[in-house]
Amino acid sequence: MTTLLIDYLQDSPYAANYGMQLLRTDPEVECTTPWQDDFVGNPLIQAWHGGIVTGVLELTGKLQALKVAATQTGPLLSANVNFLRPTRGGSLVHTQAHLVRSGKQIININVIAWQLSPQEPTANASLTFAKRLQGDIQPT
Amino acid sequence: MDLDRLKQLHHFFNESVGAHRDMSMQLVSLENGKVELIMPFQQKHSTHRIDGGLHPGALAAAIDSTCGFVIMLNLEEPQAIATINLKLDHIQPAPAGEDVRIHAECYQIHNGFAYVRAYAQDITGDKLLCSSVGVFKLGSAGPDLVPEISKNRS
Repeated sequence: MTTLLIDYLQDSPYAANYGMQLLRTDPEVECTTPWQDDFVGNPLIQAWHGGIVTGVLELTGKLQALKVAATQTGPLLSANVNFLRPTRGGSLVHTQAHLVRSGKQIININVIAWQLSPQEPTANASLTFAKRLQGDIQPT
Repeated sequence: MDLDRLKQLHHFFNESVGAHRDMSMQLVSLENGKVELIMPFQQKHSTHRIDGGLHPGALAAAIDSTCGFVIMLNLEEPQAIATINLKLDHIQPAPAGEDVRIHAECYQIHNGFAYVRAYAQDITGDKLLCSSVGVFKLGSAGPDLVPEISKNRS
């Protein structure tokens, strides 16, 4: 299963460009994403761009969905992202997913991002993925 | 904010600020409080090496940037803006290898918060790819952008 997740991180140019590293998959998917100068959104407070944080949260959720549903994982349908604190530039971001429910057609996953400790999250996301039925082929 | 100053702001961010420079979004129009930008396709932002379109995360970043930009259009003076909440519905994948259009409208500013709706379309404008609403805090922690922009005006 871990091989599938690592393959996704390496095969998707978007994920590879972020340099996200998979730390563990058990009990939940946890990743780190190192800082890049291309991530800055506000030059004066050197904060991570909100859209980049969203991308990191979505990628972590995608890995959790792959862990749960493997090849039945469908596309991301919806994301609701709360920005709780500034995500400081120059420091990496930890992300951890939590499976809320895996149903017949939908997978619900929550993801938090933090820098100092998980008790001080900088952002969280509620993600909804579609689940593919057997034989249903569509691009992700 | 007047349009010339806003174009200057767009240029400043595109040239100098990491995430904006990386996306290299092109300004298409600024009319009636609305903004349209084009997010150019780049392989590094795609879902797959072959036949990949722009990744949902890349669309999210483009939408977040466009929302910030349209808020600036509706302010008298530029100031720091922080995203508080962003809701995105990914309706269909971005077409492989194609640029996308991002539209944003700031429909309300109230009590220090800006409320924005935005959407992404394919380059022809025929397909709705992503629909979004966001809440943004004005004058968020950190220095204003005014000194930096003023410096760049000289």
